[in-house]
Amino acid sequence: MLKATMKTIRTPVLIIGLAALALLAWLVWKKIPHGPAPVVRAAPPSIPNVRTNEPEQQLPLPKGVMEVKKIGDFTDAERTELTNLFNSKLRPAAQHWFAAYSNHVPFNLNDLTLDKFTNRLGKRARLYTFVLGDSTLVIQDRGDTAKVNYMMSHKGAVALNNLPTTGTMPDLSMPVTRTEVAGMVLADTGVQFKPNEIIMRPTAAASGVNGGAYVNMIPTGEDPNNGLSSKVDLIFDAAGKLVNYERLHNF
Amino acid sequence: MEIFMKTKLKLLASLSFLAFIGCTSRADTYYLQSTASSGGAPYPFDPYHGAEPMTEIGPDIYMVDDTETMMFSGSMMSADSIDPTDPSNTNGTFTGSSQPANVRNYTKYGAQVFGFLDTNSVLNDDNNTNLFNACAAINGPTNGLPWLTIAKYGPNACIIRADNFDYTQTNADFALLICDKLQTPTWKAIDFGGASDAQDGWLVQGTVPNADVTSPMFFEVTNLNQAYNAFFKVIPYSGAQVAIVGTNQPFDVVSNTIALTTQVYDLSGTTNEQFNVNVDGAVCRSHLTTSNVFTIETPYTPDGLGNIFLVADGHGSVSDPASPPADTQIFFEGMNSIPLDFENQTYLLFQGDNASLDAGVDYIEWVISTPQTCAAIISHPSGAVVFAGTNSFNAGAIALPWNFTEADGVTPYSETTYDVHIIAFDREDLYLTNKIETNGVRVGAGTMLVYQDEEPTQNGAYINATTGQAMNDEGSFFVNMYRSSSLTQYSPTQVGTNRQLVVQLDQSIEDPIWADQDMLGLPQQIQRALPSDPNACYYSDITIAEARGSSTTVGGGNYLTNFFDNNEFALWTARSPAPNWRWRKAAFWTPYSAGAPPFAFPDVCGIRDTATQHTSFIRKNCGLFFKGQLNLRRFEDNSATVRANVAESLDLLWVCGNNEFPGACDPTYSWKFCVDSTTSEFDPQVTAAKPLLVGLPEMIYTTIYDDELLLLNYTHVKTH
Repeated sequence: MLKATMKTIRTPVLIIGLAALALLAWLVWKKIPHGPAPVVRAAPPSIPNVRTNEPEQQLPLPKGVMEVKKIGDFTDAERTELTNLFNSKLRPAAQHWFAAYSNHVPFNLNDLTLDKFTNRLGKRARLYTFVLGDSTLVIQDRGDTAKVNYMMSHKGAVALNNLPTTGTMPDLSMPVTRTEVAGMVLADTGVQFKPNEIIMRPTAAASGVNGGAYVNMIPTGEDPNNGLSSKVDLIFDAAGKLVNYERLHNF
Repeated sequence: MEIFMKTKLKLLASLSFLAFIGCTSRADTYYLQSTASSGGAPYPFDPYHGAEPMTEIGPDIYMVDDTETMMFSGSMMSADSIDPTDPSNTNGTFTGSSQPANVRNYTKYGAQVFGFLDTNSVLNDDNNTNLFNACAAINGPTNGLPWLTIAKYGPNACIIRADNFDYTQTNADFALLICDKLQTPTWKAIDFGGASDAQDGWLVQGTVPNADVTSPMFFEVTNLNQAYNAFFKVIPYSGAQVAIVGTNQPFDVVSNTIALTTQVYDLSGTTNEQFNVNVDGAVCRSHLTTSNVFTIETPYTPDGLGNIFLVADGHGSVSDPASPPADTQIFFEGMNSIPLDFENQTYLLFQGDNASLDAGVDYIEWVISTPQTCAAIISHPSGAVVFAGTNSFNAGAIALPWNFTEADGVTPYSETTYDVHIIAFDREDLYLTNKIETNGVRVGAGTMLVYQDEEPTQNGAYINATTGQAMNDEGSFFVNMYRSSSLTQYSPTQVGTNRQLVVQLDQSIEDPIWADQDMLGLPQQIQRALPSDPNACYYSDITIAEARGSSTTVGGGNYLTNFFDNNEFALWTARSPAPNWRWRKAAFWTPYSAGAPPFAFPDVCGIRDTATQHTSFIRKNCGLFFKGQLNLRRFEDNSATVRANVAESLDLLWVCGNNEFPGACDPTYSWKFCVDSTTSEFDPQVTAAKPLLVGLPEMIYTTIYDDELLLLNYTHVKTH
């Protein structure tokens, strides 16, 4: 049996066939993005060696993913519930937030309609994301309350991230004062921050954007080097429009 | 006298020690040690008229020690006379003539181990009926006052029952203190020069997180050192008390060099207190003189309102450095700040310190308030000039770019530091010494998943199984990252190369990998190089998803005693194959992993503080650590959710972003967004553990924008 097998392998046809197979395997191998084989010590996950021409079956989602509910996945009943929630809590929360920041918000409250809703993140976090043009607005439903916890203007963010231009003098002025910021945040959160709890830095100090402001609201006694100490983060551009707003979920 | 003593001793054989905190009574109140166990009524005056030692146990409340000395001796806790000729030492073996040398309290009690007992778990999970019955046999007080009741347990341990401690009005933790003398003051003034180190006194035997304080609580202290007296009492404690005093008042306008006098009080047994001075987290130019007086050169801080912080870190806990207890806070931190208005005619705006050569060009920026001529000189530490220039400027900020070259503008600068001298002719000069980053952050590659098994009791077996599942789940997630059928469906052009590499390291009874020196042990894996590039690290991210731990250790505990400490981890990490040894992301889901600088786990992971990362052209990284105790399970108000589930959720959210479904994943969501969202999903348990987000809050998973982050460019950080 062994001799017979050896004889078979020696046949030229099979050698060519094996070479072709090796070439094919190499081509497939090259096509798959991969690095060195992972070392997995405990219960190694099964890793296929090659990809076939058959479409792969969708792998099961990891159990650790937070629940994401896309608008397309809402049932009719859930859409009705979402509509009610939007009218009763989410939009009023946005109204409250708009009132606090008024003309500093780079879009209109009227732009916030249910058709801008994209998804909800988390079973308990319940973060409702709306996309309005190049801005993202997230409203969190915490059961008894709802509040805006995030806003980002992509255009503003891009503008903020240019380096200082050599040969020009940065404009370190800021479009808002501490008193104004304190008033806005008070109207938003109900918390009166003291002047020293409002950390303000000119955007020109670390970017190419002149005349804007980075603002962090850090209560007295909290570590300024803990990223979770800043309860509300605000970035204003030179015109005083909000580029970024972020409020911690538990504040 | 002898009869009286014996009577007294019988009364005290089952001693109850009272500690009182937080009383709002204004009149002086005196309790007698001898009647504490029976709930003796307080006196409005000292009945011994000062003849007996006393200690203040609360505001205007005193404990008069009329029991002579109490100690642990022999096989039971008792009260004994300190007179060696007194024949009444029937309960113990104490002999005054052979009392051991009076070493520091750290040494006396360093081997004692504190445990906070969950009596339900003791009975149902651990099946330890003896311990449960011992707890149940201790009667609490009937007078409604905060009490500690102490009972002997076994030959070498005691159980302490705490009743009626109300911590709802404080943010501090419940701290059980220990000392060899009752009359020792709880606090002492700390001298940063070290003069106060000689004073010995109270130290923390154990703590209970503020949110977990209830009534009654039961503690076990084992491995008692019975050669010395030991007294326990309770105070609310979260670290040193720091005060900034002196001539400056809050919101004063300051300029040039100012002096701040500080007063720091900490437990009387604390030594080697460390300190840090900063302005809103950013390094400032400060110097310690004498008597805790700091001078601060304000022109090196941008003008405007700023808070000067003084942070004091003390090693306030009894612990054996060679065998630190698990799940124990060893370091405690206290801080205070004073807001001041910095106003200088000329001041530094952007130092350009720590810039990476990868930045190509570094910037030094300063501000002048009047039009004038300024000069700037960049030189070697030896003084050899590589750049010198003079020009006239209007009032405002001036940016000086430098491309890391010698005077010819071409030859690369070869040293790791350089000096900058800025001359603004209307004031004193600014002198800077800047470092060039030579040991940056690991290039984004694989992820290490590390965890430790619990003792497989009923609870532990469940935790082990669930943790193992979560880690397998996450391991598969990374392995399949580039597959078209996976959740992420990423390509290397989206997240960088080698991001699918992963290793699971489970510290188990069968395979205690933390001690292994072979290729699959923790040290070797941390130092592993990519086969394709021996100068690049195989792993850039690390998640310790579940393990016992303390401020200085990961692992250990009663079941798997093996652990590694911060020094070992620093060595393993620093021995990486690349000069860029710093972890790109580190999440240590272990109790008290935030530690205390300068060798805390965030430091030894190479994660620089947020203010530095926000103001330097350095390679960026991020981390999550905890200042408090962490649950093993019961996250999300759901007993089925274990710590590793939460750790896995955070990792996945960072990799996938807001839209965690196939085909929609986005690896540009910020670390802060992911930490806050995960915390939101699993609170209140995560927040109760006092998470510390270190490094760059805007850090993102994909590596393809690392060069932008280097230059403080957050264009591609989605954050939501």
